[in-house]
Amino acid sequence: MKQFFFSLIFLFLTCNGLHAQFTTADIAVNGLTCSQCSRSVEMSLKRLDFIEEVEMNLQEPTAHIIFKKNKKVDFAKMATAVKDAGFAVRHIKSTYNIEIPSSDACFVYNKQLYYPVSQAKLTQQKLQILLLGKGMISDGELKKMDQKNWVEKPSCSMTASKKIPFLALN
Amino acid sequence: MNVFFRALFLLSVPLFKADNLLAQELFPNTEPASNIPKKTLGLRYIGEAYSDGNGYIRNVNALRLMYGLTPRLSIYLTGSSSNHHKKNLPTDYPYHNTPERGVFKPYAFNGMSLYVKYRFLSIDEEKSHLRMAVYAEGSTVNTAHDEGEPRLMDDTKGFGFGYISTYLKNKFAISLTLGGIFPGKYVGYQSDVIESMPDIPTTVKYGDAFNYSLSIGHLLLPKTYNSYKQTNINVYLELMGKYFGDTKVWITPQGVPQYLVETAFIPSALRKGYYLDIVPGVQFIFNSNTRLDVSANFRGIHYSYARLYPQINLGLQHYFYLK
Repeated sequence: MKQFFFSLIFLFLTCNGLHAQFTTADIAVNGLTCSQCSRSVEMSLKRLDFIEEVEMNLQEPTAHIIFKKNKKVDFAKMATAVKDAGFAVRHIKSTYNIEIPSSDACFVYNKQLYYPVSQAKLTQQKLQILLLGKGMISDGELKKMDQKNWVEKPSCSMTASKKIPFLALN
Repeated sequence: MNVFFRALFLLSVPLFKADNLLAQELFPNTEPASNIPKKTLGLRYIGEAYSDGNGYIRNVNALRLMYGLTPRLSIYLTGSSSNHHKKNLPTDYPYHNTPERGVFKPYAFNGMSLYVKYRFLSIDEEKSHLRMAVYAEGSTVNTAHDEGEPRLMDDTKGFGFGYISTYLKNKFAISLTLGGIFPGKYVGYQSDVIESMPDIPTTVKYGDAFNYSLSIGHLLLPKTYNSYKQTNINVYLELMGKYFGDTKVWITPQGVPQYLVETAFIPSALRKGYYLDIVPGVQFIFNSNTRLDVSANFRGIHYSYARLYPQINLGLQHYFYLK
């Protein structure tokens, strides 16, 4: 029984997918020109059950998102919420909190495989990422980036039904 | 009028000169190509008023329910009421009393109209966007409308469709609307000149119309956005008009077969025509949601027979974000 218990703890500590968590994100929104429009984006994002708080920066315009603890974050749903309000995502940046640093920058979170398009290591406690999944970045933003050395497919052995590429920012 | 145009010029100058202003596309009297957010219910009051002489103020009061079915598809249902029409067409219509001015007209419910808008193109960038949409509208309004110009919200039944393009670049926003209105027939009566005689069956087919508008606007206050609680003040300038065809009138006096009134006897108000109104407006947005629009129609090129100038317009709108 004791052995089983320790095995469970070991599993819990070594599995990034269970322990790692997104706590905040920043969404830059295209097409927003008025505070009423910002409010519509805010209200649309607040419908998502994993979002605790939305702080809109009316000048930029960007939305700073604080996620609920113990709820799985889905960035695709966030992008759809912005679209539902009638606007488009310019980019989404978030921070991935890692409890067990790893040399493999891929990670599975909420049944989705996140993989870097350029060299990155999960060696820091917090990995800042720019999401490159469908609808999570505008074509205009993508064009500005140097994509020469980007990989098209994940180089890690992990698998998941859905794959989300990202660019490591630190 | 000179004072008006001077004021208009002064209002327009900041649109092209100021550096820290943002363009706005929440036009008081025309629809932008943008949509209502999905799962959002909008409630809008629309009011219009002008003086019709002899102390009569003509009003339109309409209530509009708006809903975002999808991010690209919005649907509006409008119920309107006004004191623009009598139960019957004017006596001796269309030869005389057309349009009928300065007489009592009871306040009555006009009917319902439906408007659907679909945004088919969105090119959104950080400080610019281009959006295009198409719309279709239909109306069951059936009033004794005695002018030739059709309007689906409160005057005539029928349907219409059109195209909207809204472009926003840095500090400048512009929106163009082009559409067609295809009004139905009004089948009703006019009172006989001789009171003891029965009402005369009269059928009116309003001419098809082409509607056009060009709208611009910008944010006046606040200079810097800090909070949703800041009251936004936006100013707008809209050029709105229609081109419409000849109205046809069929009359069936007692003992006489129905006949079509010859064009030569049709008064100006029922003849084909066009106009372009100049409509400056100011808008207040409270708590980034409740919107109050005040604007006025002034005569620009030609004029509409369906109103007397100036016409004051009022709009009050609120969004309810549904779960």
